[in-house]
Amino acid sequence: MANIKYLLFRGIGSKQRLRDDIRSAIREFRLGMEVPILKFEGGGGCQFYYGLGLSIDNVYVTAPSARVLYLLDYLKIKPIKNTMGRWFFENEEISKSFLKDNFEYESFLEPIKFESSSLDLDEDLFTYHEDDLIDDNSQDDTMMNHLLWWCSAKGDGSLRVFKDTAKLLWPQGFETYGSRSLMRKLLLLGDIEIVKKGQTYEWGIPPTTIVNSSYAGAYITGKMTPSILKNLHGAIKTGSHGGPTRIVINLPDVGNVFPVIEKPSEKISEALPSYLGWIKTLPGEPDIESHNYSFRIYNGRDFVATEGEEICSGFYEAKRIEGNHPPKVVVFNGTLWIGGAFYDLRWLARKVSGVDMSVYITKDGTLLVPNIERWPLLYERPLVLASGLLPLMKSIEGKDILVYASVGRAVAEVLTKKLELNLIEA
Amino acid sequence: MTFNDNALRDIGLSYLSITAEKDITKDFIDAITIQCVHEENGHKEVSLKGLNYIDEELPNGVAFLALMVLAAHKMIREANVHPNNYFVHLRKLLNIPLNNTVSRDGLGGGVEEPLWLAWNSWLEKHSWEPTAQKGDGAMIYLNYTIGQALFRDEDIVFLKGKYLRTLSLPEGLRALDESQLGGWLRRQQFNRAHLRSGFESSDTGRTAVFFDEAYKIYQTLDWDQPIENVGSVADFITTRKLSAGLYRQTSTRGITSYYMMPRVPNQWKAVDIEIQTDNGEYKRLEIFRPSLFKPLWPIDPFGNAAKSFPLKGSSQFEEIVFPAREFWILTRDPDDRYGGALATWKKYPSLLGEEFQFLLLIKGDNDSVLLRQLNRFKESGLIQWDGEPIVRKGFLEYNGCMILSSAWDGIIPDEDASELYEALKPVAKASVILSSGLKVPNQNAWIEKYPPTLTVYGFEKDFTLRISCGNVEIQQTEIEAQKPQILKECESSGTYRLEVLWNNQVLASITLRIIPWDEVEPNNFETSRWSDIGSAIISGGQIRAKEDSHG
Repeated sequence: MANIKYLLFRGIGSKQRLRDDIRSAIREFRLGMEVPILKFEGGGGCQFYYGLGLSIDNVYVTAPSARVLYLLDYLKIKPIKNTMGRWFFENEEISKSFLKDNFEYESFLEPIKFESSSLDLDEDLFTYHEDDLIDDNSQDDTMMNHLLWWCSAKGDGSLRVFKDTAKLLWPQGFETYGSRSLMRKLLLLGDIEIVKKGQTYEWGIPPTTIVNSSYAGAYITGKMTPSILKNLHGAIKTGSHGGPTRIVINLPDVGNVFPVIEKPSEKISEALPSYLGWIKTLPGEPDIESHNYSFRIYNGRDFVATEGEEICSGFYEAKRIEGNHPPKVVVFNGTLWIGGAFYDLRWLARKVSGVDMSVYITKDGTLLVPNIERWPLLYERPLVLASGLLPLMKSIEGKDILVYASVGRAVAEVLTKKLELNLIEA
Repeated sequence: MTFNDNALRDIGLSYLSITAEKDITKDFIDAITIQCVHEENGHKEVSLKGLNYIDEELPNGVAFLALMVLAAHKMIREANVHPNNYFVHLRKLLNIPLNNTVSRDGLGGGVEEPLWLAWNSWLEKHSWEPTAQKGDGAMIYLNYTIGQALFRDEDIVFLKGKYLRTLSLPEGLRALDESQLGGWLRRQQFNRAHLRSGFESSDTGRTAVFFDEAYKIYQTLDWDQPIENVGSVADFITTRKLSAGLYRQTSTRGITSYYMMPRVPNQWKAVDIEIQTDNGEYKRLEIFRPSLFKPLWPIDPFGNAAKSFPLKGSSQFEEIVFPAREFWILTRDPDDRYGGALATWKKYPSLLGEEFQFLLLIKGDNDSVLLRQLNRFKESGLIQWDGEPIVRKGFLEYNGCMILSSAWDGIIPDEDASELYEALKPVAKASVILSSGLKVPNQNAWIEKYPPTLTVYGFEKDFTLRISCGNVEIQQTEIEAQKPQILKECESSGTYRLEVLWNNQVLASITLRIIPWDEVEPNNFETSRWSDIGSAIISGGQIRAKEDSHG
């Protein structure tokens, strides 16, 4: 409403009556947008000046529109022209002279309703226990492709944005599983990275990169869209067991279009800390105390009510008693409360309680991990990067087993050593 | 289409590697003349045959249209804007004898209109707002061209004189940023209707290009020259300064910091450019968004004077200037409204438009004039904010501010608060906000089957929404203000025009582009995040030793 020009009038008699007449006429003729404001000279005199503010978008317009002239005629009021014979007065001209800084005003437009903007901070990605989804080949990869393409176009962003997108692309699954299972798949496949920034997390998509693995050929990670795919000559599309389509390439066909990472599975495995070093990186939960939280303990399948008053070491779901905070998963090691992701903490709880954990390797380098002992994400990533395939869940002798293809003995040995697990020939 | 000698020179120097000595304007005009002017028996005639198409994704007629706009820039006095006068200028440029009649030399009569329509359609297809429009009466076709011309040569001389007279002293006035100068320009009473129409337009896109051009002139002014030396001919304008805004970040411990965030200038050609820090070290400027460099280092938002930081690596730009301001308006990240940072994402935020909720930083304490005035605005129902302001060192933060009323004319602000008043006063009568859906940020488009939600903010309870695709009206419906609705009519790929009307008058409009998945392009910026795993950092499958980290 930048260009308000005024028609100036001299009034006699009741200001209130005139004001009512003008208001009802403007409403009747639906002229609020064109005549948005009325200004009256203050004070109690029966002779006074008043100005009708007209919204003039075109600076070349020098006279009121026919609709406004009709309004004036209807109200039987006649504006004063200035000394140059012009119709319009500037705001300053009338407010500081005719109305003498002492005026009342009335707006004929509706105010906008205030909307509170309190920021919805993202809850911690890995603090409550909703389980990740283990998929098999039946998972529709179209949705995961769309998610990866969109993330590649966006480049980076907050978890809120990721969640909103996951909800749009996967409405039914989102209701049941949330978005974290999707994020975890992309993390394992090397398509996305998350870091903590300020009070929340943010994600970013690494550049399109060729992973040249030891036993499973070369495949693509990172940014991917249909336009990138078009430039990958001879690419073969296969499933990734629930993630986006796995793009397998023959290195000489593609040339130097994208950077190549040689054997990242081996390199990352070597660089990872021992599990004791990893524990030190997990966030403490110093605020948790038994009087302000309620607890449920993990029994191997679900969180169930605790027995007795005393809290012993174990894997818990903790919920703040006051307020409406989402529950979070925590491990109590007898002294400290430790926070983190569901699988990370479930594994940690078994480790600190002294469970003797084993994994199995086949002659072709496939690694078998009991689902109940699924590894922390950091250590699981090299298992997945070894092939570009997410684990398949298989039932072996009545137990759920995660099957990681093409891991190779060397990587398995390095990682089991760091996690202090038994590695057994299958 | 901003096209004058300066624009031509910028294009020539930056994109075509033409040396500065060469007459770039003459080269350009010669090229058009060879292509479009045909001579037979001494009679010259313009032919626009084949120029009203879009071939290989480019509009064929754009160079001729640019020449027409160039001719409009070269007109001397606005009072003489008339088809006959305009075509005299155009004929001069094309070297067509002035005694030719307009109709006989292939000019006039709207022959160029199909080129403008093709240009507008190309802009819409690429998610830009077309601004060239048909006029009335004698200006029916000429309006397409005249509306594009920003400052004529004489306007530039006039503005230089006005800056020298009004903003020379105190010296702090020589280091305003874009929005400060924009506010100042709005407060001036220009007699030149042409300038008023640009600076006071309710179309925020139009005011933004006028402010940008006015800012270029301001930035390059020699403040020490006598006013008589401004001369009658406009010099070339080459900006040597980059401006900077603010980026707000809160740490894990809840500590809020403000960072300096430089703006990428228009027509930026990527070069490695470094900025000198306060301690003399140099830091590389990295692209963050198409119009912004990455935030640099923490800075006090309210220094006593503007700060200058030298640049190296660019032959054009010499320094970045961080302005001295009395207030800042920070808005949400347009690409991430819920999780993104608050920053000066736009030079001229439209506070009734996309940036309808904002953070206001005001210098001083509770007794300052600005704070008293701000409270007065609130008491008058013009503005509202969330909760109590947060007191910081030397300034206050008002979170969740919203402009609520159009009746800002009901208040005469204190002289010292006129800049704040002007910055907050809404310009538009209504605005269309598109949110949700699946937006591809870098392409300014939404993906098919996932259209956005539309919300209208404006000073009435109900509006009419008109949706059209091409020239076909798809729907016209009544909608309530501030009530979001999904645009189900826009699920399929295409370019849609959304117009908000009140009493048959278009108050706001926006172009919405819906694209198929196949057209989704990757973000071309570096977007990796690196996780620390102790001895190394990893990002997806990439691994680096810690010392290789760029941050």
